[in-house]
Amino acid sequence: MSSSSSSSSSPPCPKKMITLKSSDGETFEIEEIAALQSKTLENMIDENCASTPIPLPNVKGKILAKVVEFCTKHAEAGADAETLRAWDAEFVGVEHAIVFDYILAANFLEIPTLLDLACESVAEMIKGKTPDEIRKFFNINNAFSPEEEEDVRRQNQWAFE
Amino acid sequence: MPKLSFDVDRAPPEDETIGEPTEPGQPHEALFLVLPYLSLSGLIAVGEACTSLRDAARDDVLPWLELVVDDPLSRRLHDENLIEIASKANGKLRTVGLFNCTKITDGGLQSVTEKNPLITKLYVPGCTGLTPEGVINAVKTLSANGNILQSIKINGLYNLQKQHLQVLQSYVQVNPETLEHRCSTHFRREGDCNVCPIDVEICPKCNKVRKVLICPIETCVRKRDRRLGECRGCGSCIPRCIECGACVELDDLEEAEAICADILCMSCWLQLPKCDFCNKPYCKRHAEGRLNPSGPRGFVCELCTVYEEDDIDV
Repeated sequence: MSSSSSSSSSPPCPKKMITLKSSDGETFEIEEIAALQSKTLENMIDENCASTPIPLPNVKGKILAKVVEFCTKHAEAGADAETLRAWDAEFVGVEHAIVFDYILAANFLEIPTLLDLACESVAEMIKGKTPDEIRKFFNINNAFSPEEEEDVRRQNQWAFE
Repeated sequence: MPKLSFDVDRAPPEDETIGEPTEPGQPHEALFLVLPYLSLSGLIAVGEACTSLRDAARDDVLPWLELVVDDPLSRRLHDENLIEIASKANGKLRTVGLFNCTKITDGGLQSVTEKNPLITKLYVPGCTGLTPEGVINAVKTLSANGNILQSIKINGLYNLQKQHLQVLQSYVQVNPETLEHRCSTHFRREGDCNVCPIDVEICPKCNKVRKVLICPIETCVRKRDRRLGECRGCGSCIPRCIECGACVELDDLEEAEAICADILCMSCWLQLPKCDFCNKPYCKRHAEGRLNPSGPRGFVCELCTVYEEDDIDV
């Protein structure tokens, strides 16, 4: 790759790397241009706090690695929409517990594209499932008392006749 | 980095890759962030799963700002249900997405638009209980007080005439990108465009108000043979492949039909598995649930199964 000698400081230099530090101490390098997809990181970069590794106490190393991968992929120039869609589908085609971690990370780091992608994939998992199937799939305890359960079923009765 | 690629619907909840199997407990906090992405049926199901999700769905306005009602609730939604559910947005409803909700009437829609002046997306395709005049009244109500509609879907309404369309077009916001946009079938997974300000227009061939699509193929046969500038028309005038949107010549229509009666172009047809008896394929969407993708290579379609069982001499 040829190195460009850019003298202007306002547009982000694509080669500039930011270092992120996960909750379990792992460090990851990410191009500034990719990091800007996170509003949280963008704010930190703007305020010039990005010279030292940015600690992210809410994100484990395993997940941060994938988030960096996502942002880097989405910052690539010239990717066509179809290929990117397929890549995205593979990215979230994992165990739902991991997708949950993506959701929390995307929420914390304010990455709307990742948040949408991950939430929509979970919404797909929920689609078509009965409340009982949802409980089983997501390992949720049925905390309803019999009266409460009866109450909520009655309210939603129109949806099942 | 090793790639984890479990099929999510088959992975057991207590997969030990992530942690030890746990007793059923409180829903994961990420689930609460998913609520705004659920259609109405999803919100109802989730609200019945446990008390904290019920409370979140009830107390939070965010999941209700975009109302999407599709199968299986579409045909069960009456005006009173719609009005009650729309009220959960506390007047801040942004998107009304009623897909094939045949029981909704003009009165129900008007009640919703009167109470929610901030609606910018009005989607009522297939809501055959609505009249074009009713939709126009709703749009007029929503356009009062400086609110501007971004997008309308009305495909499938009965009696749509040119003049109705013209009135609606005058109310919808036009951006530079929507002016340039020409619709072809082949886009998002939902199969529906979010750029078109209105999903229907006047078909240049039959002059009726229809969904008009443009050929996704740069040099399609139709354009080449007839030396046309564009291959553009409604579904009745120009049959299109359900998979890729390419136009299909009317002469080839019989061979081009799938078992499910959808139309396929030759290249898509060739790629799909065929029934052992009639040599026709399902389209990808109708194949789901009917064909086991990793099963044996041959299959007998539901229409030919009748012949197979009765042992009729073909």
